[in-house]
Order: sequence, then structure tokens, then C-alpha cells
Amino acid sequence: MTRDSGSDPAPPADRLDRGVVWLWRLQALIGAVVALVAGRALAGALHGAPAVLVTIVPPVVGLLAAVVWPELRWRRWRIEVREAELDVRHGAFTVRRTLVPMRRVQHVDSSADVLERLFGLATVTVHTAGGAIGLPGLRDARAGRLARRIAELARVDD
Amino acid sequence: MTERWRRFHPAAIVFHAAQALGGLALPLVIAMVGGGGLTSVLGWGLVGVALAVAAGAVRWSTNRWRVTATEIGHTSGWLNLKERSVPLARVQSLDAVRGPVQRLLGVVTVHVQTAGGGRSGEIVLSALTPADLAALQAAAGVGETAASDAVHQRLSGGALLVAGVTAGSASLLVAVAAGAAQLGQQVFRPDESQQELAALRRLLPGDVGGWVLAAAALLALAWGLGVLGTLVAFSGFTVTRDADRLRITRGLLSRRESAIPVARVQAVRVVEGVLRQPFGLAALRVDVLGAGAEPPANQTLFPLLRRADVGAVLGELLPEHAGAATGLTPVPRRAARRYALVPTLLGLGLGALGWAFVTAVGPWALALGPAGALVPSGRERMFA
Repeated sequence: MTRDSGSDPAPPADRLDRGVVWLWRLQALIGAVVALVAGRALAGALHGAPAVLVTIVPPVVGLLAAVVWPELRWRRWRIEVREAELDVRHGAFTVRRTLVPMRRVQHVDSSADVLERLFGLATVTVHTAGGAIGLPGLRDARAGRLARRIAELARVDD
Repeated sequence: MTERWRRFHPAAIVFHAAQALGGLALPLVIAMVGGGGLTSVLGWGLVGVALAVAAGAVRWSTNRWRVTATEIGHTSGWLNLKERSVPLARVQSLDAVRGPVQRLLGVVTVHVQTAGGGRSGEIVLSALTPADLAALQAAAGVGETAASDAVHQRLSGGALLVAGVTAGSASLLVAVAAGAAQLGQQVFRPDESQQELAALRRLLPGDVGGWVLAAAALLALAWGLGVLGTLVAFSGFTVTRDADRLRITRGLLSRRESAIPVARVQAVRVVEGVLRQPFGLAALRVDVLGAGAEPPANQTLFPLLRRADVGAVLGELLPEHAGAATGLTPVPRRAARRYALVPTLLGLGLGALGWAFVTAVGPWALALGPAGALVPSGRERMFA
């Protein structure tokens, strides 16, 4: 179901909601803080260069992940719901293009954890017999509409 | 049928609380034992139960379900919200479970299965009234019909007993063998502190006869557990073919009623376990998408029948799949060489390694070779 998007001229039409960039930044920052604390704790047991490394590297990587990566990811994420299929492109480094035929959709979840709710966002997960694909960063109302629409299109008998 | 979002029957609080109590069990036991004294044990017990009931009530109050003309919906969660929607056209089976507690409270737990993974149902409706269940079954197209041509098969008491006796749960045997091996290693490690082991050794049989007796007792125990498990799972087993659905009822303590649309059956299996082959007995299973991870009991179409009757029984219950039940040919005789060779070589290799590293075992380890060729396995035939 996955294929390379490089040769495909028309990406799926819809973007995620912009707020998800800040959600991803917040998540990366939380990760960076955890890494900083863990690094400090570990540094106490080490000496010299390794101690400095475990203190500095994790938060720096975390900060980079908070600044650059969410933007890249957001630009790449595209969704389009068509009558017969769900078309998704995503991935900051490895670009994935996923086509899910509606007749293969088994059920649809929409979920919002505490952080997502802080930003008024939700994730819609589409389950097939072979796996699931999550569509993050959708405003509450839009997530509800999308989940309903996919469930409706999936109603055809297989 | 209703389109409103509704809570489960309040009895769901009991089930959710029981689940919560299961999660709390370890810290509670530690607190109980650590505190010392009867009052502390009782106190922590009360705290645990109170916490579990509170958690159950919160879960009950945050769960909603509905069934519309086209889908089954379920929302849950307090901090992390979750909504799931299953199109009725995608329902693989509806399982209604009535355990002792459910029967006491007059409710039923319903598992809605789709082909999309997951060990239990994709939606678990903890407590519905029988009227809710009927509405749900009607909406999913697996409701009770007054069809006069319904075919009914039930497992007789005698057959149930035979099914239990010949169940031969291989996994139990493996568990028992592993436990015995572990014990043996503990006892025969020579450099461990002798005094502690001396007491343990006194409990162990002193001669070969004693060991054989102990092994036989363990095997008998495993076999007895297998019999018991079969009796509990398949007591009162009935299967009904009713228009385009299969309806299976089974279970001693917990009655489980599964409704499977016939169109959802991917394949039928005839499983002949080791203990059943000599008597020409077999069990029938159905393969339904998404149920692969479920325990075999949930996939059973009929727990015990004569191999010769498979065609006839299938012809009544699932004529769609009956054709392929006959005319299966075994692999050619000369293939036997190949079948025996690989396990033998593998066993010899392992045996040689064992000889090299665990010198105490000696060349006896090489006996693994021929043993490998004799690895017993259930004969399984499948046809779509």
C-alpha cells in the first residue's frame, strides 16, 4: 500500500492543522527535559569527556527536534479522503505514500490524549485487517467529521 | 434500536472495578504484607477496594455506546478521550458472554469483533441488558430469526467427556516439563549451599522408580487440568446454522454465545490432536479474520466428532465449505525420508553441542537426534 511519492505529481490535497507543529514542539521539549535530567544523573557516575557528552548531547538533539523537525513533518503531511480510498503522504525523512481502499477499512478511532486536548487537537486512526494508520493534528470538529466520513465510506460490503 | 449515546448498565461498575482491582493487586499485596498486623491488612484491603470501586464508577460514567442503522459506536476516557466506530457491515462476529456475575446481575458482556487485529473484541460493551443485546444483534443482522430450517447440533455429555480426556494440552505438558527441568537444575548444581538444598532433596524421590512416579504424577496433573479446561470451556456446547449465520453457545461457568455471519468464515479446519488420531476423532474450527490471536476455544465450530462424520456435519452446518472435506491426499511415502532427516540432524547437532558443553550429560545427549524425528505433532488439514 506504500509507494514512493517522488514521481507522483499531485500530493493529497489537505494539510494537518497548524497547531500540531506546536504540539510536536511541546512533546519534543518534554523529551529534551527528560533527557537532560537523565543525562545529569548519568553524568554524576562518569568523568571527563563522556560526562560532558551525556549532559550536553541529549538536550541539544531534543532542542533541534523541537525547532526543525515539526516544521518539516508538517510540510510533508498531506491527507485526502476520496470516495474509494484514503490517500496519505507523510514522513520528514523517509517519505511514505499510503493508499487505503475504503472497502478494506475495518473500523475508525478518534482519540485525544491530554496534550492533544490542550491544543484542541485529535488523532483519527483508520484500522484495516493488516494494520492501522494514524492521522494526527486534526482540530476536534474536523477529526469528528473525518472519522464519520471515513466510517460512512467504509460501509460498502466487501 | 437507539441512536442516542448511552451509558452501560450500572453493573458495568462491578466489572470495571474488578479490572482496576487486578491492576492494584501487586502494590496492595506489598502494602498488606509490609505493614504487618491484621488491622493493616484489613485497612489496605478496604483502601484497595474503595479505590477500585471509585475507578470503576469513573470508567462507567465516562463510557458511552450506541448502535445506529449503520454502525456501532463507543466512546471512553476521562483525560485521554477515545471514540471508536465500527461499521455494521464490518462486524465479523458478536460474542455475548454471560459469566456468573453477569447472570447474577442480569446483564451480558458483548465483544464486537472486526478483522482489525486485537486480542479481545474491537469494542467491548461491559454490561448491556438482554434487550440492548437483542437490538444490537438485530442491527448487525445476526438476530434471532424464526427460521424453520435451522440446523441444530449439540455436544452430548459423553462426547464432552471424551473431548476432555483426549484434549492433551501440549502447552501444559511443556510448562510442566520446564518446571521439572528448572527444579532439577536447582537440586543438582553441586557447588550451591548444601544445607539449604538438603531439605529440598529430602522431598525428592531417591531412585529411578521414584522419578518415574513423580513424572507420571506431573503428567497426570497436566492431563487432569486439560480435562477440566475442556469441560469448563465446552460444557453445554451447541451450534446452530440459522439462515446465513452460525450461532455457537458454550461454557460451564461463563456462557458464551457467538454469532458469526457465514460470509465471514474464511476457512474450516479439521484438527486431529495426537490423542485423537488413534480413535479417528477430530475437532472442527472456523477461521474468521481478526480472530487468529484468540484462544482456540473461541474458534471452535465443533469440539469432537468422528473423522468419518466431518463431511456430513459440515454439510449440515456449513455446506459452503463441505466440498473440500473429502479427497485430501497424504504426502507421498518417499517424502518421509525428508521429514525425518531434518529434525534428526537438528537433534544430533543440538545433542553434540550438549555433549560438548554439559559434560555431565555425556553421549546420551545424542539421543536427541532420533528423538527429534519423533516429535509428535497434531495432524492438521485445512481446506478453504
